[in-house]
Amino acid sequence: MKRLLLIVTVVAPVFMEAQAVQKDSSSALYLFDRMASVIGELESCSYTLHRSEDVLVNAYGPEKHFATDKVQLVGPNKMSVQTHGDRGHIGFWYNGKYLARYNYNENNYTIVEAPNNIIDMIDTIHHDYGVDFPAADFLNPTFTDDLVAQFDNIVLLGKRKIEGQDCFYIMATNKNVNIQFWINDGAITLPKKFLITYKNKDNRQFEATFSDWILNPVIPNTVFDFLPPPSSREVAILPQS
Amino acid sequence: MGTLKKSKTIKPGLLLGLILLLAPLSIQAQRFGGGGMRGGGGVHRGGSAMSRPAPSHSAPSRSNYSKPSRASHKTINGGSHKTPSRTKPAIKTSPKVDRSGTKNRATNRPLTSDIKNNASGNKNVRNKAKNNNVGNRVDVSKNRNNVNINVDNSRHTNIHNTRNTRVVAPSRAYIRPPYYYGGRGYYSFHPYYYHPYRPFYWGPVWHPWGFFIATIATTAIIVSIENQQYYYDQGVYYIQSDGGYTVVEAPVGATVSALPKEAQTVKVNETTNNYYYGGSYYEKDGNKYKVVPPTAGTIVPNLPEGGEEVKIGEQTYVQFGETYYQPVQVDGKDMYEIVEVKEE
Repeated sequence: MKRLLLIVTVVAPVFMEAQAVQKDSSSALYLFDRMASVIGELESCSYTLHRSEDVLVNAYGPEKHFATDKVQLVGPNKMSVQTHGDRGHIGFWYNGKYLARYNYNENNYTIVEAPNNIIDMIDTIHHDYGVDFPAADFLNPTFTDDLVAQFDNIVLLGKRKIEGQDCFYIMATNKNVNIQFWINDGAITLPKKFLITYKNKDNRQFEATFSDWILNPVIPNTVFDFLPPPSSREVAILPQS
Repeated sequence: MGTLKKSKTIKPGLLLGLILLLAPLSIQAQRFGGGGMRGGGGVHRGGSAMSRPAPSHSAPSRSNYSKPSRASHKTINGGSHKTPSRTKPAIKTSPKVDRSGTKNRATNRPLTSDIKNNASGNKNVRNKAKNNNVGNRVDVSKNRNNVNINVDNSRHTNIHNTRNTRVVAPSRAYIRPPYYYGGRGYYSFHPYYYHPYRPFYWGPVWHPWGFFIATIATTAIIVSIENQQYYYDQGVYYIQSDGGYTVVEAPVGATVSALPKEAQTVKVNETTNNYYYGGSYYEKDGNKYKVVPPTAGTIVPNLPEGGEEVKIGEQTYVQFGETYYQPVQVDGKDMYEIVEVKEE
């Protein structure tokens, strides 16, 4: 048994290196498919996302902004997000019918009708109101297909250790964007980290790291209902188009 | 001896382990022949992640390796889907979302779970092409001794001097990038600094747009602009309607000889000031005061009733007709800056 482990341990990295040299996209796609399958079978989950983003808000260059999102999902139509960032605290509550967004700092909120499943809700709210949900693309059922459609190269570069976890290291590139993925190398294949570099936007970056994955937790439905705090104000919302 | 025996029994396991380890990658390597070559396309979900094409895929065959997802309809995303063959790029189109059903909720309900569909539920989703109808909503700030003014919205007037709320571009250049949302840039000279909209109370003679009175004060004077007759009284403009008088926006170009003593001077730029009263802007014209449209970049200390807070992306503005006011802070004081909105 020890020998088996030894050989696997020795062979695997070598093999991975070989794959990297060959720029093997199929290995990367396999990992993405596996990850998508794991996510696709979850009936509920929660995770934390630590992210940073370069945003152009002044004439001197991009600013780096930071936020931490605590996400809870229950299929097929419940989601809550608590975002604490350097620009404030925002909460989202989606109960299958309505999406409420409450800005804790401004003490105001908006509520809009939303489709009856998480994926359509994310798409619709993003399209209509420009709302970005943290790492929502990983929830996309066609995640791998979309990558294939949009990137010229998707390459498994080997294995890396992120926050003590062994991860597969994958890079996807096209002329505008470079994305680096770190996918957990374990029994349950889940995303650990990704870094987007916008080559066409002065190499601005978006980086996010997952932690605290809990699979299929029991989360009460009331968690996803928004209760306007006393003295809070409902404000109108302007659609993007 | 014992060790030797063990070694013999492990060999098949070793072989199996190696096969299991290598097989999936080898099989995958045959699938596309080093594919992954697809068109470029933006990677953008509002700057945070990749955009998603419409989830429509069609391909004739599927390799043996692919297995259907066992996900049930209760899963968080309905189960993963994979194009049977990835030899052709997926069509890259923006998600076509039928937004006809996107309506807002009824208000004044405690929990989102309690919200019922309501025919009037659309009122808090703003129409982008909206014009000057905001003035009909009056909600005097609670901290103003609960002064409630009831505006009869059934009295519709057709007078809308859109020039009054159409913002004029400033003569100076912006030093800050605009805030982008929905294909528009929202330009300002000061950074966004939120403070709640609390309408300023200009006194008992001032009334918001849409306010109706049966009789007009004898001190009112008649002002004619573009064949429309207005009645001006102490900073407020009326038109005759429905047997009475309805408050309307100050008509651009109207000239009056005096402004209420509460009128303030506001800075438009380094060389120009406006006079500001009740949400209207004037410039000195000889001995008189002429109504002018708002100029972007002008800072005002207060806003009147009749505006509405509108969430535009992540920022909250106060909207009066076509004029957007950005909450700002100047010298430690909460103020509002007129924003210039440009199609980008």
